[in-house]
Amino acid sequence: MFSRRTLGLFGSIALGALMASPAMAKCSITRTGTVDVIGNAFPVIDHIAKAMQACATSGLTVNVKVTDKARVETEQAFAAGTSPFEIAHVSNGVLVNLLAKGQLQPMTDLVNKYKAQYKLEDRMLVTVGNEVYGIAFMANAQHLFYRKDALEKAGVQPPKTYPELLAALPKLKAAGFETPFTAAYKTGWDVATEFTNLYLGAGGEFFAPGSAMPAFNNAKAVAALDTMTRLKAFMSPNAQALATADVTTAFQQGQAAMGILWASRAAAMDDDKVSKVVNQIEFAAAPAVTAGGKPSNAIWWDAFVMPKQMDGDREAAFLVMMEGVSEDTMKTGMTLTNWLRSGFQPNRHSKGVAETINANAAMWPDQPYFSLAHAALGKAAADVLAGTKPAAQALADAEKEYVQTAKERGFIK
Amino acid sequence: MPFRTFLGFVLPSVVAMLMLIALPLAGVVYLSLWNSYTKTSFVETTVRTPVGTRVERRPVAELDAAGNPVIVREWYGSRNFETVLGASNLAEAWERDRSVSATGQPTSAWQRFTALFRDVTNVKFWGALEFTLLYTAVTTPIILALGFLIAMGVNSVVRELKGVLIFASLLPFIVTPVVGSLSIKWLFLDNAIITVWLEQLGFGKIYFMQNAFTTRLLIILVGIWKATPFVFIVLYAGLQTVPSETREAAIIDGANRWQTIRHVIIPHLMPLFVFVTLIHLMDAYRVFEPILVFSGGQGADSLQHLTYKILSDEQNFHKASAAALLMVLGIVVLLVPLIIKTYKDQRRAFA
Repeated sequence: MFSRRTLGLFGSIALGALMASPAMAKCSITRTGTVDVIGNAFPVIDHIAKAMQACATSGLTVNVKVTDKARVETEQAFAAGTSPFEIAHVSNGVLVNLLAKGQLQPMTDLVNKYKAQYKLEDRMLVTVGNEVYGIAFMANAQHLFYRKDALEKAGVQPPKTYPELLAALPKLKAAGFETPFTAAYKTGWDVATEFTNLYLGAGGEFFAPGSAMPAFNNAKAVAALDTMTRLKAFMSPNAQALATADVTTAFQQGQAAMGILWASRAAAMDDDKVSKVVNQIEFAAAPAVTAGGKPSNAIWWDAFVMPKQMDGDREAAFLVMMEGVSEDTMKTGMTLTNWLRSGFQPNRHSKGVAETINANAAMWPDQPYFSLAHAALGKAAADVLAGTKPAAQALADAEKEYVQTAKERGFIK
Repeated sequence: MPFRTFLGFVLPSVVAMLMLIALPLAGVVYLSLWNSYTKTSFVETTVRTPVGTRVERRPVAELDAAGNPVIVREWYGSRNFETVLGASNLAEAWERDRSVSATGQPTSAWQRFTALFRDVTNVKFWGALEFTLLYTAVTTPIILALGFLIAMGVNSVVRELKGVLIFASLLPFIVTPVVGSLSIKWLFLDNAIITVWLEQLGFGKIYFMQNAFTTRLLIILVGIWKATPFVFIVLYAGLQTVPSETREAAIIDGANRWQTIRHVIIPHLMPLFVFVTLIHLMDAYRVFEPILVFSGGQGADSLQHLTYKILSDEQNFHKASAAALLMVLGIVVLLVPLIIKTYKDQRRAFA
């Protein structure tokens, strides 16, 4: 289809785009070999990738693969005999899965050796028992994004609760927003995540304490699905196809007045190359389910991990990782995310996450069997929103599906 | 041909097929009959994360003497297949009493059938199979007809235009499937180029991903857009081989344009029609990218996407292998009539 030469050309164009980075602090690793890194596709990871690639010398090759299928690829890679990646960027949800499968490498010795040199802070160390398994570098959350100008025009206060939000939407619609609300309701991972936010906000538990038995088929879950159904009425009719990137675009194009979106997309709202709403979007914690309650979202954090099964120089890999999360990397990309380092200077884009953390929002469920429940709920929530199943039946089906998969993975006997 | 020479010709491809097709297939069969997982036990654990420190009972991987996780392997036999097929849900759907409707009225046979169909296609595998077959059945005749029309059209334009037309027709074929589907999603979302354009033409605001019907329609349209160039290029090549003597003879015998097409060109291209149908049936049956991008499985699912979901969501190689095998089985069933026809033609040719 393409000749080898054309492919080579494309390759070098892509490589050139990656290498053409702004002035980046010099990386001074003297080790040799190859370090392969995989990461999720969002703005700060591109920035970190450049910091890591700056370490490449004639003797050290650094390859960074940034993809929106990183979760799937990382889980397959770490399960392989020898992982093709020495470093992976993972969210807390993926980290616990890898940990429960015994696929993560402890890096306690390396942390002790380089802690002072790279100013690693204790809150960055993901520790289980006595071993460090991950270096966390950023916090993330899905929270409220709203158009300040639109809310003022419609005479609406930024909503603190979902009932307030639902009451505000008709007014925004009357003020000219055909589809005032937006959120990633795409079938599967996205819609399951929105459900999780609302269910956690209502104080819902997914499992019986200390076991993998499901506990999510209840009135709080039905109420969460009901809220989602009511919100959907104010979303684009394409709601069930909207993934995070589509929600980002809906805001940037001025189609949405309020919505729930990842904090890691906040900076993109003020990028005048792609956004029509520069400086018009404000950020806040997600609304609570009831007045005075916790925000309906969860705190996430992202970390770098190393696989148990790898060849190559683990110290070189660790050092490349350290350059990626160094103080200099943070300083040159301060506004790109909510860095966990103490030198982080909050800005207007980090307001949503800061409010979420201050309000003691729930932590994203970190049981290794949660991803199985999450997958089953993705189908259930989609069925309810599409109107093909009543909530009670969908939840019962999800429970059945979850128990089946949890048994197969050995979490339920 | 001496047997040794024959062997010399076919051996390399036989070896390649054994290594690249038969062996992996055997591996998939083997995997599908087992289940395995990392052995964990609930242990009181201290976990320190950026959000705080907790002590709780959590599943922890058990390690062997060498420090590697202990993997439990269980013989599953047909259990993975039963789970993928949704055997228990299917039995439930079959046994459900549908003799009276929700309002207490006695139901007609047709109502009972549609209710049963709905319950069966509610089971994931059968829902995916339904759309996979629908997609295959709808796209196949349309791409054959369209591809043929474009081939005839390009064949009859002046020489100077041919290159441009061929390039334009092949474009969708060249675009990588996921990129193609993603860019099409961005063409058809709210306020995207095509939706705005349709609105300006007076069709009103159309939301292509709003329900099962529109999503299915969009996926089928994308499928047609994607597959037609293949049919076109094959048939266009075939058109270059239509002997001009036969065509001229037909014209001399008084055949009009339609009769020439019907009695000379189409019979000449018949083997190519069979070939592209065969290839497209296999391709269509594996429809994946548009499902991933447009529907995520809601309203329109496919067997390939179902297999992918089992692998990516559940991290279950064994069940995913079973799903993949069931899919292969489906392709074989679908291709049987065409394979029999090809086999008969070959025998006739050598007889």
